[in-house]
Parts: sequence; structure tokens; C-alpha cells
Amino acid sequence: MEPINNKADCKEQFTPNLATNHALLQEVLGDNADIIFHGFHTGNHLSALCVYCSSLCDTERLERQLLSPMLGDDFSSKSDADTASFKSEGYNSSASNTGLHVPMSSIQNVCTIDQAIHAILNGQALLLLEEQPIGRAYSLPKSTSRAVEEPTAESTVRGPREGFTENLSVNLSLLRKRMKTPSLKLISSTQGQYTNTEIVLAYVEGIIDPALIKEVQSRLRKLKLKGVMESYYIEKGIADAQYSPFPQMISTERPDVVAANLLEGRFALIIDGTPFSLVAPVSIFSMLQSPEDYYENRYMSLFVRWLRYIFAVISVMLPSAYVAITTYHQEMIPTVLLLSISRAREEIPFPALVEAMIMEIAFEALREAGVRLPKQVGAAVSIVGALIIGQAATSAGIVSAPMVIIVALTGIASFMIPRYAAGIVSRLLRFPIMILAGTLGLVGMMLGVIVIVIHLSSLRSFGMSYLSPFAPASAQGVNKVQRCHDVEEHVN
Amino acid sequence: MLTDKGRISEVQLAILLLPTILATSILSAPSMTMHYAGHDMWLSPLWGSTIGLVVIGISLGIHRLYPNKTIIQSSLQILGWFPGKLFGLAYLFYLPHLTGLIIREYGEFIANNVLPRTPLFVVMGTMVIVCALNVRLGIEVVGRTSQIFVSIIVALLLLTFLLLIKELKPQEFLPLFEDGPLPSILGSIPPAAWFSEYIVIAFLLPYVNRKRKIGKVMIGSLLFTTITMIVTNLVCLFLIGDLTDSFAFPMLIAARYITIADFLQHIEAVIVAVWIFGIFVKISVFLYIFSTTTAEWFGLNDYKPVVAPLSFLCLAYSYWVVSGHPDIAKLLSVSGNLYTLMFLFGFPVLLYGCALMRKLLKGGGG
Amino acid sequence: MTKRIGSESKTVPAKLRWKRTLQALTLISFLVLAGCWDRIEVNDLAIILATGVDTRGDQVEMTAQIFIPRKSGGGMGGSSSGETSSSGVTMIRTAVGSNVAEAMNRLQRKVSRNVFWGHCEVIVISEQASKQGLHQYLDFFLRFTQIREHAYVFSTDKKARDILALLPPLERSSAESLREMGNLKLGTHVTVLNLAQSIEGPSRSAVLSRMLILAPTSGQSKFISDPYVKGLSLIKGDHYVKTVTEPMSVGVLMLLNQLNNIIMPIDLDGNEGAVSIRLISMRTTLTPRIANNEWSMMIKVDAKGEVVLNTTTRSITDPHKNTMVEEQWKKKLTELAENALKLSQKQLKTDFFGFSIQFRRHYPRKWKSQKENWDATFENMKVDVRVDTLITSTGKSTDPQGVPGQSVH
Repeated sequence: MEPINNKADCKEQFTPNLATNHALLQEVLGDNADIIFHGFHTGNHLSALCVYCSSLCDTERLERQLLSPMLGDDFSSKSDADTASFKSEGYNSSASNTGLHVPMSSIQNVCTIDQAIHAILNGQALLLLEEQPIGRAYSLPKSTSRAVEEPTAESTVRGPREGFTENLSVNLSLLRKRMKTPSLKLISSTQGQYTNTEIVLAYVEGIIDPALIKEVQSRLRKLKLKGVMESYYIEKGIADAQYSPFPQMISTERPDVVAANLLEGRFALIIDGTPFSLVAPVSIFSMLQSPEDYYENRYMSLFVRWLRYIFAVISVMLPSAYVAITTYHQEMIPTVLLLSISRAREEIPFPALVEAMIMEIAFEALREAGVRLPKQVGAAVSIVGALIIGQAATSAGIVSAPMVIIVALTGIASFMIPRYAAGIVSRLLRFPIMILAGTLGLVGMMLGVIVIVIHLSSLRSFGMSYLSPFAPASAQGVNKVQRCHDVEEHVN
Repeated sequence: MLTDKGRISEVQLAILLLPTILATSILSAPSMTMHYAGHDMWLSPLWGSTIGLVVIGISLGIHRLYPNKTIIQSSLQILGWFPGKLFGLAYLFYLPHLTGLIIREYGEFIANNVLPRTPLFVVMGTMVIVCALNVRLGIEVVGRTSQIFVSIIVALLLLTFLLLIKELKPQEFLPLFEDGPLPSILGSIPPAAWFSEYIVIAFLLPYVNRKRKIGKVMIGSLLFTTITMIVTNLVCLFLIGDLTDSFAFPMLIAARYITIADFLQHIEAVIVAVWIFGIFVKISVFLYIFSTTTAEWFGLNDYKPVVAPLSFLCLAYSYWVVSGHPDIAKLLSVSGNLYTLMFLFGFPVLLYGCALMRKLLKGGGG
Repeated sequence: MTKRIGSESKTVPAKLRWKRTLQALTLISFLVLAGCWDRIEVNDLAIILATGVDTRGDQVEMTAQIFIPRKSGGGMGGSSSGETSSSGVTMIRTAVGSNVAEAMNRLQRKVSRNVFWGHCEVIVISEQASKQGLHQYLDFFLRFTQIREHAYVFSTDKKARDILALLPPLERSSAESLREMGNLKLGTHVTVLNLAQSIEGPSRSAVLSRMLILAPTSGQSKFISDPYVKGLSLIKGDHYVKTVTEPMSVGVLMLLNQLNNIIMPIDLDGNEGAVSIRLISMRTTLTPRIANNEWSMMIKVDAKGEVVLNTTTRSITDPHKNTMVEEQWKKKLTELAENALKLSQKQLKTDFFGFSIQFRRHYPRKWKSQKENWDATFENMKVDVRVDTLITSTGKSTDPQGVPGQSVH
């Protein structure tokens, strides 16, 4: 399809002449098998044209609710008065008028070709009447989206089981159901030159900083994309530091997470066509937070949260710490442990660094293979991985048993990070630090840590420091991050 | 006008100062103090901290008279253009010297205790690159990284002290004032040199955005450093006793001595981590001051372009200042300490004196 | 939440910021990738578990016990572990040099891997070697980076080498046996740092545990045996002077406040049989006193014990009997202490028990003025020993058991 290159062209108004209008639309939408131009005469012999996209419109409803009333006698008997008012008052009053005749709630008046095309491609049926420069778009969406299911990427034991779907209106309904307040604002815009994806900016008025909303909107306006397939297209475009490996927005498929974050003064971007919504501004601590932290006993969630912090560090540092300590600082290992490590490593031909690299890369490959393959084959991959790496490689003397334990622990640790995007970072950062540890020992490892901390300190997520509330420190903020149950605070 | 747009809070400044003072002192101060003060060395930081108090007072005083100006900028107004420029030039020569010495101290420590075969250039070079990166990102980032590392340092030090409790012999506390109080006062010279580094406040005060509680916060910072130094000295005394001054880095020996249930042992790496994180902040602070001072002296608008060359210069200085560990020891001994005290304590005192005189004369004349 | 909204100008440097981080990382990796200078794989280490110091003529003979990673069982089959451990998991290498550093250097030439001292937790010094002075050993042990300050120091009247050559049937290595014995506090509990402190301190002396070799079970190889603690080696200045064994060593340990794990039989006058008491805790405090320019020391010993054997026919729960036992015990302890003091003051004229440390602590001025004459002062010092004993428990039984017909009356 030829893109709408010339915007001026499309801003063109409809003419009173139906045939001209038809030609204008035909010119833009003509070569499409699923666009139907349906010309007919209404009950009072007005010529009319109905244009719709058969793949998006519910044609049965179209016939029943729009076409048959218009063709029927009922329509003709009232038509004179109706047409008169339609002509004279234009679209201000037309909604109420037409509402009498067509049993439908969502009707929009359309007066430019541009709007018309937009409406048709969004699944609305456009009705044009003879001698009228205004069209009406009836919303008759065909329900093609899947049912609301449990979110697969973020499951919880306790908590709502609804997850976002690919359908924007379903998603909005899920959100609105949770927040029955006029303060919840849902601002819509479109993004993507070809996809015209609808993006809804959600926030709670009165809680959010208005400057933040202005900033987001200006960034969204500046964003020029060809298309939006997934929310990351947007995230990449509007994030502060686009080259940072750290995610600067949370992506979630849980409406309860979005709602809770809105209540904390963040905004959300809900994007059509993907179940993943974006939430910002966030800090590194949001990355290590699971919705369940708020749903469980406070001591338990505090414990789990700290466990997660520790394991997040482990997932980045453990292999490098092992490499650094066994090749540079053997005196740190308890004697008995060193003896068993030395026994296990006796037959191993590789240096510890190479051994760690081999194992980590093999592990990442296994994980990737397991994720991409169909579920049934995926299980086979893990069996092969466990057998080959866990058993055969150790008994063949290619890798040492302690290294297998280290890699397994690291793997578990990286699975503990609740946000997938943050987990990816830990996998990525592991390798450079491992090299540093292999060349300068613990000193190298600490230099790596320093570089990461410098980067995190300079990183901002929509103006909020990524390390807040710890740096810059605010006692109140720390308290808030550590307290899992701030339901009382939500009330204010 | 300032060469960095970033601002930090007064608490951040206070936190920034902790590793600036403590990083190097925790390791070598106990031994050096004991050299002069003998058994009473734990008291010396207390006497030494008075210097810190005076320096903080001077910095705040100069800043009150010439608000939102660094000491280099205000010196132009206090002393006049030419003497002021000379004053700044003195610091331009002194700061790379000091920074180079700190870098070298780090390099020697790592080379002696952790990576004996790694070239010194690599050890120091990697650290300088990391610090330069930090400094380039501005005072805000320097402040934040220092916050993170200070919390790590405090946690690790506490851990070390806790694990050592079993081995400590508090009876080593006595005798007190074996040779009268004089040795402990003499021994306060090395800690005083460290406390005089509080003068960095005079360089950093204009970057503080809220200054209402600045005095209190600075005193709190001083209290913290003093207590940490006293506790470190006491731990060394209680563990190693009179042998403390025969070791180069007594705290390292102390950490090595830890053995908990045959499992947790030899955790000197913890002390090495404290040292690396601390010295990272310390080098960053001095590199930042050096860069901004240079930029101010030459009247640049932005200090960022000079960071990389100046870091390289400091690295070069770290080779020029000394040729080996005994040289460092000499520079850190009394004569070296007096040299440090002159720049970090003497000159600012003179400057403050001039400023007060000027104010008095002005007041008298007007 | 602190929010500062980044304006447009802020987003651009943010991009550059990460680029700069990348640049720095690349620079660092260039510096670093040139080599791994200090890397030593565990496979390339000869892990030393214990060090022995002997003398050969006026030269130093240094022995290292090295762990053999291959020979020690491990692996899959656990059943054969008994046999593998007795075939030995350690070996020894010995080198001779004019001083300890040279000997160590020659030792390296006899081992194909990097000698690693970081796990040497036991140092055995033969009495012969310590007769020639501990100074050079202590200096080396506290100067050479790898050696642990926390390593236990033992003494032996045999060759240190023979002790390290043992392959104990119970533990993995004789080093481990020695270390465990140090942990059990069977003798004195002296680390390298403690030894240096006590030799360099005002008392200028030290006491080490003395290790001997248990005669192997008949039919076994002479290496399959354990070291065991017997007696103490006394060191004056940095020279070995004398060995003491029980009962004298008990008195010495008592005054050092290091007596543990001991059961003492106490004979009761007038009654046939004896009562054995297990020491539960003992605290020895030294209180120095200078009155009228006369230096004296008060030694107070608090001992608590538990009855573990009663071969008399009378119950210990009887208060009279109880007091009697306590009195007898007290007498015995006082005698032990006084003998040890006599040895220290009159015979060897050495301040093993740290009297001088106490005087320095409590009378720093007077100590300073009297420091030169300390030896004479010490020799003639009046020492009071006061022992308090208390029996806190009589074990499971109250009355004596196994006395024929006892339960009838």
C-alpha cells in the first residue's frame, strides 16, 4: 500500500458530492482486498456509501445494526426531518439525531479524508450520504483478541490472575476496572508512520508531577518511528540513556502493577498490539520488585526482597568472584575447601577463566535454546544440558565440579530477578567483569563494580536518579522502598 | 562563576569527605601514629581532629565572606589579582603532587599486597581512568558514587571489627600516659595532616545547594572520621599491641588474623575492597578539585575538557614524586606531613587572616 | 521522590555518557588484556599445609608438608576412602640454607609447582632450632606476605621434619592433627603473632606446646601415626631453655591462664581412694602491687570443677566432705603454682607469666625507672598465690557407685 505521503492532500475535506468522495477514498484505499466500498440507496432514496474494512469490522453487526435500519421503512419515514436537521446543524447535533435511528453508541463525525482513512483502518465503518460533506464512523469492532489470561512472564502465587492482552481496549478496561476515578487520565496518541499504533498515556492527576507528563508528551511527539511492534520500540525511543544496557522503564503485563505504579506517581504507556505496558520513572530498586511484595506478609516480603538483592549481586559477580579468588587469592578459601577444589581441578586442562567462560556461554546458549524452542522440545534441551554439562563434562574432566555449582547458582540467581529486562543486564555484565577478574583478580572485579556504579549514578529515568532513593539519599525514600506495605500511603 | 552546573546536598558533601579523609588513614595511620605516640596512639586522632575543626571553620568563614566562590576565586578578591593568581598557582602545583602521591600510595599498596607481579602502571592506570570517568560526569555523580561506596565501606569495616571482637584483648588499653601526654600529642601530627584535608570543603562549598545546616553536618562528618580513626587505632592496639608500629598496614594484619570457625579466614580482601572503594572516592575528589581549580585559574567555562589531560598529568606525577615505598614513607612522615599541613592548613589560615583584615580595614575606612 | 526533569539538552549527554563509559571500559581492557601477571591456577600450586624448622649444623633445614591433590580419594567411590587416606595425601620436601629465606628458596627448586604458603597453618620448630634463636624465623614469618599470622607454633624435641612426615590415620594430614590439637587447647595456644608479641614484649619469653610422635601401632608403617602434646618448651629471650612436663607443665599452664581440658586426681588423707575432678573453668589473674618500694605480685586462681570419679566410700554431697575435697584440690593447685613460680623466678630467672606486662600496665612510671633492674627485682619478688576452688557439680550420681551393699543402709 502506498503510504500517505502527502499530508496536505489528506487533510482535504469531504465534498458534498458522494461520487467525488468515493473517488478520493478509492484513490487511497483502492488496492486492498479487505476494504469494501458498499454503495446503496437508503429507504428514502438517498444514495449512500458505506466503506469498511472487512477484516476488522464485524460485518454481521454492520448489516443488522447499520444497513438494515437504513434500508428499512422505519428509516424512510423519519428521514426527511432527520436529513434536514442533519444538513442544517452539521455534526454538532447529528449524534443525537442519528442515535434515534441507528442503535449504536459509538459514533464519530468525520470530515476529512485523513480522519476517514484513520477510522476505516481502525475497524470503523464509514457512512457517507449524498450531498453531505460529513461522514459518520460507526464503531463495529470484530472481537479478534484472545481472552484475558494469566500473565505468563510475571506469575504470582497470590494476586490477580488477569494479564494484559494485545487488544488496547481490553487493556484499558482492565485498568479502568481497577481505578474507578475521574483522576485517572488516559491520553491517546498514535505512533508509527505505517502502523499508526495507538498509545495511551495513563496517569493519575493530582499524584503525578505535571512537569513529568509534559516531558513525556514532548518526548513522544519528537519520536518518529516507522512502526511499533512491541513496547520496547517506544521505550528505546524515549528513554534517557538509549545506549545503557539498564532498562529505564518497567515493562509489565499485569494491570495491577500498572495501577499500583500509577498510584505512586508514575505514568504508564499502554500500547496497542502488545500485552506489555511501560511504566516510568523507575529506579534500580523497582527492577528488583515483584508485585507479590505488596501482597504477602511484610516480614516475608522483606526477607524475599533482600534475598533478591543478594542474589542479584550474586548473578553478576559470582563467576568472577570464583575466578578471582581461585586464581589470585587462594589464601581466602578455607583450607579444606581449597584442598577439594584443587583435587577437583587437578585434571582440568583449562584456566579457571576459560572454564568459567565456556560454562557461562554454554549455559546462556542452553537457556536461549530452551526459550526459543517449542515447549515439548524445550524439555529435551534441558535434559541434554543437564546431562552433558552437569554429568559428562565433569566426569570427562573438562570442567570441574565446583564450576558447575557456581554456574548453576548464578543461573538460579539470575532467574530470581523478577523483571526479565533487568535479568538480561545481569547476564550481559557478567562477562566483562569475569574478564576483569581473570586479569586483575579482586582488584579488577572492584574496578568493574566501580564502573557500573558510576554508570548507574549518572543514569536517570525521566529525570529521576536511577539509584534513588539511596543516592541521592533520602531517609524517607529508603523507608518507602524497604516497606512493602504502604497501602496507607496510597490513601493520601 | 562555577565550572560545573551540578549541585550536591550538604549531606552528600559530608559523605564525600569521609573516604577522602579515611581511605588512606585507616591503613597506615595506626602504625605511623604509634611510631610517635607509643601506647597512647588511640588518643592522637582526638588531638588531630582540632586541626580538622579549625580547617572547617576557616572554609566556612571564607565562604561566608565570599559566598558561592571557591577558595581560588575568592583569593583573587582577598589578595588582589596578581597575588591571588600566585596563590592559585601554588595550588596548581601542589594539587597534582598530592593527587599523584595518593595514586602512588594506592599503586604501592596493591603491588605490595595483592598483585605483586602486575606492572604498577596498569594498577594505577586503570584506577585513574575510572576516576577520570567519574570526575567528568560532574559533582553530582561524584557525590552519588561516594554515597554508594561509603555505605559499602561502613558495612565492611563494621564487619571486620565485629569478626575481630573475639581476638581483642582490652587489657592492652593500659598503660595510659606511660610517658605523659606529650607523645600522644606529638603522634597527632600524622592524623592532623589527614584532618587538614577537610580543606576540600573550601573548594566544594559553592556546589552545595542547601547550606542552612552546613556547619552541623560538617561537624558530624568530623566526629565520624575521628571516631572511626580512634576505633581503628584501638582495634590495632587491642589485637597487635606494641607491635603495631612494626607493621606497614596494621589493619591489613588485623583482617588477616580473623578466623571464625575455620571457615571465614584471611579476609584481608575486605580491607582491600574498603581501600579500593575509599581511594577511588578520594582520588576522584582531588582530581575534581584539581580540574575545577585549573579551569577556574585559566578562566574556562567548563572544567570537563581538562579532566583527561590532568588525570594523565597526575599519573605522571605519581612516578615523579617518589621512587619506591620508602620514599612514600618519608613523604608521609613528619616532614612530609608538615609540607601537607602548610598547603592544606597554613595557606588557608593566612588567606582567612587576610580576608578578616580586609574586612576590618574596610569596616574602619567606611 | 526527588524528580528533576531532564530537559532536551540533558538527553543528549546521556547518550554520550554511556559512550564514555564504553570508551573507558575499552581503555581499561586494553591495559588489562596485555596479560594476567599474577594469575596462578590452583593446578599450579603446591599447597603447603605445615612448615617445620630444624637445624643442620649451623644451617637452617626447612621442611614443607605439601598437599597432593591426586592421591586423596574423593571422586565417585566413597568406599575405598579408608585405604586412600592411609596411603597418604601429603608429602614432604626439605631444603637446607644458611638462613630461613634461602632454605625456602631452595625448597622451591625441589617442587615443580609454585610453592604457596597461604594455607600453612602450623609451624613446628624443633627445640634444637629454637636454641639458636627464634629471631630470624619470626622476622621472616611476619614479613613474608603469604605466611599467616594466625598459624599455630609448636615445638618438638625430635626433628620437626619427622612430625610433618607423619600420615595420621584419622586426619587428612599431620598439619590438620596439629591444628585441631591447637584448637582443643591441649597445651598453649600460640600463634605467630602471639609468639612475636610475647617475645618482643617486656616479659621477653614465651611458652610453646611440645609435640611428640606417638609410637605407631605394631605392624603399621612408622609413618602411620599421630603427633601428640606432651609438655611445654620454655623460651627465654628468643632461645629455648628448658622443657617441662607434667606435673610442672600443669602449673605453668595454670599461671599462664591457659589450663584447659584436664582431670586431676586428688588424694584424700585418712580415706582410702581418691576423687578425680575435671576442670570446668579456671581464671588466673595477676595483680601487681608496689608498696614502700617493695614490688610484689598477687596471683589469684579461681577454679571450678566437676567430680568425675569418686573411689572413696563417702558421698560428696556431704558438705563436710565437699569442703575437704575443695581444700585438698586447693592445696594441690597451690603447690603446682608455687613450683612453677620457683622454676620461673629462681631457676630460669625468666618472666614467663607476664609479671612485667602487669607492672607496666598498672605502674607505668615506676616500671620505667625500674626497667633496667627488672631481672633482679623479678628474682626476689614476693609472690602470693591465692587459690579458690569450687566444686559445682558431682556428675550424674550423688553417692559413690559400685560400693558393695551400699544401697542397703
